[in-house]
Amino acid sequence: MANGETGGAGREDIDRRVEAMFGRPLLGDARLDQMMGVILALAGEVAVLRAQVAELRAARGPEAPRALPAEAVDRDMGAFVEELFRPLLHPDFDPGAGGTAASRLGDTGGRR
Amino acid sequence: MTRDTLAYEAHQSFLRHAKVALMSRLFPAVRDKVAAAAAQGLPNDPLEADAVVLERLGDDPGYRFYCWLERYIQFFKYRSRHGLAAEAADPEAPYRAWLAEPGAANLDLAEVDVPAYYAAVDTHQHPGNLHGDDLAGVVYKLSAATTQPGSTDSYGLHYRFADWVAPRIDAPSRIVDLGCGFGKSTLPFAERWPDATVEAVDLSAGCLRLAAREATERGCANITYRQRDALATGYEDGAFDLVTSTMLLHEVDQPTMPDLHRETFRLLAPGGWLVHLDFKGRDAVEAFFLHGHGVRNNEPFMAAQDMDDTAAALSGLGFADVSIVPFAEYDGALAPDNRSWRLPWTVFLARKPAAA
Repeated sequence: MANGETGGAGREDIDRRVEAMFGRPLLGDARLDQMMGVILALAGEVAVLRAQVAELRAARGPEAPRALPAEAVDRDMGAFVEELFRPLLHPDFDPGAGGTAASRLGDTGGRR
Repeated sequence: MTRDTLAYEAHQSFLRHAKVALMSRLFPAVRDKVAAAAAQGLPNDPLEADAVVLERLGDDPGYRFYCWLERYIQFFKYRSRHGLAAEAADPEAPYRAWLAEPGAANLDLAEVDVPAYYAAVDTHQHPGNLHGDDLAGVVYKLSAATTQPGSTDSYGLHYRFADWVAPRIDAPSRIVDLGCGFGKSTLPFAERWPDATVEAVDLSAGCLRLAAREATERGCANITYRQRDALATGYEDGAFDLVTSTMLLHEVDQPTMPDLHRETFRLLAPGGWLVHLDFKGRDAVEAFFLHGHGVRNNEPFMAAQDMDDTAAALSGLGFADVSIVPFAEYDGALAPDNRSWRLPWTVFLARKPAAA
């Protein structure tokens, strides 16, 4: 960034201003930050469980190796993240039709 | 993979993929919005410009999720029960054996006072910071591999840096690496100039132990690692013809920065070169993301460093040929069509005049 344009701001002033602009809460509400933290923690635990289940299944195969290759774990995590983050990564992510049941079913109420 | 490491590897892999998605999939759209906000015109004051961009972004959910993920992926990388800190502390893990024994010929440990401004934060969200204990170096090394997953690794960027520097300076015979960490920035210089004497200093004993062991393992016998403050190294005046650092500038508090610049000038022999690798936004958009990253990643001096007039500070001390140049940490990093998240790596190059 071009420098020397800080209006004479001192270090403490810079620190205070950047913290105020970019600090928490990051989702606009500290409770949302915390709840998203719970969700990401859960997702991390699911990721670990996926790997552990995959290793157990691999170990039961007749000629399967006893340990799961790191590459297999990594490949599965890529697929898991793609699915998990789908609502964030696809701007056109559509959870489906909205509205009330009555408005979707029309005058017949679903009866034919 | 053994059962003992499966949970750790799986969890870190999950977070690594999440970060790749953040960098290469989520970030480009957010960057477009910030660029559109900046294109409407901004004040000259970088912080006022940041404020205007934020106001124009409003409550944009993509930007908010980007910010949240940037902070919390890093948080869980270090601090979850499958995180780096827990892994390094596992008594059955091999990491303690990575640490060099005190008394190693290439290691000089001595208690140093850690500056209060540095001790006050958990840099990078690293629990206890990089100087915290002997395992801090292990945690830092494990972490460094995923700073920019998919584009850089622990060492590749540093070899690129040494490659970049080599044709631009006179071959040095005495090199000092300030704030060397676990040695990832020192090794490429020491290997490029194997006949040079290389000194490397850092505050962190844990990092230095790791660095000394790795240098020994690689047969790199021209480095000595010393636990010293980069701002007051204790070396004689003019002891070096290359003074270098990597990711040091943005970890120095601004009131202390003149002390660092003075020390580098003092350490250089006449005609010697100064080369820092650090960060500087090329425009208001890069600066906006850099300033925010500094807050979200517990690197509180990043914004001030970005705004600092480093060229004027170096010239004022008597340095000549000062140049500040964007650095491509991988092929295509600086290409206009590169839309992935990256830190704005920048080289700060200067020379002490031969007549000084």
